[in-house]
Amino acid sequence: MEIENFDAMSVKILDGIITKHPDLDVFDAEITRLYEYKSRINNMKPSDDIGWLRVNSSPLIKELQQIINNWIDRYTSFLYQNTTKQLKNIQTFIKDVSDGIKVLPKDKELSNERDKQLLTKVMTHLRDVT
Amino acid sequence: MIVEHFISLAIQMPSRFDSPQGDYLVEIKDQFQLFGTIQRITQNLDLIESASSNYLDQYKDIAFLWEKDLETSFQDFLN
Repeated sequence: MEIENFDAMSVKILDGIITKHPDLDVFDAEITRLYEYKSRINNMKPSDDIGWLRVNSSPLIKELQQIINNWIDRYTSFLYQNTTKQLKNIQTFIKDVSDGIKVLPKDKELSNERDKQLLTKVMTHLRDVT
Repeated sequence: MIVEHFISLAIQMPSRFDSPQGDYLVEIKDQFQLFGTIQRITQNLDLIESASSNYLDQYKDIAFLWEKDLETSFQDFLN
């Protein structure tokens, strides 16, 4: 029964959330690694001489800066969006439950269908948080 | 390439001045100075090639940035 309750709550909180991903430590290591590459790219010389050959690396460096920013953004924005979405789901869940348990059936005998449905809704909310 | 082009000029001449047939390829190939120069140019190009290869090595560990697809790599990371 407890598992079912937890399932009901987690389905709502984890709606639209990607749950299969590495730990934050792994994310942190990967993002740090990408920032190190970014720093290296930023410090690359825009021009270099190899004997009589002059290499103009400016276009390459510019392109690499754009690419590394995209990579960093992909990792950080995933964490941001996934966490933000989860927080919104929790807020919505709390609001739904708080509002849902405020409205109780007026007739304790549940003589009409509306009161029965209302009680079912309240019980559903209570199940979600029990 | 430049040297080959230079030698090919000896063949492309319309005709020899001293004979109606043949070209100057034999004379050109007989020039030791020319082949010494070719050897020096070849050595220099080998050095440049080696130095260029070393220069490119500095990008090796970030080659994944253009060799791999970002989205595919990220999905692999997630899983």
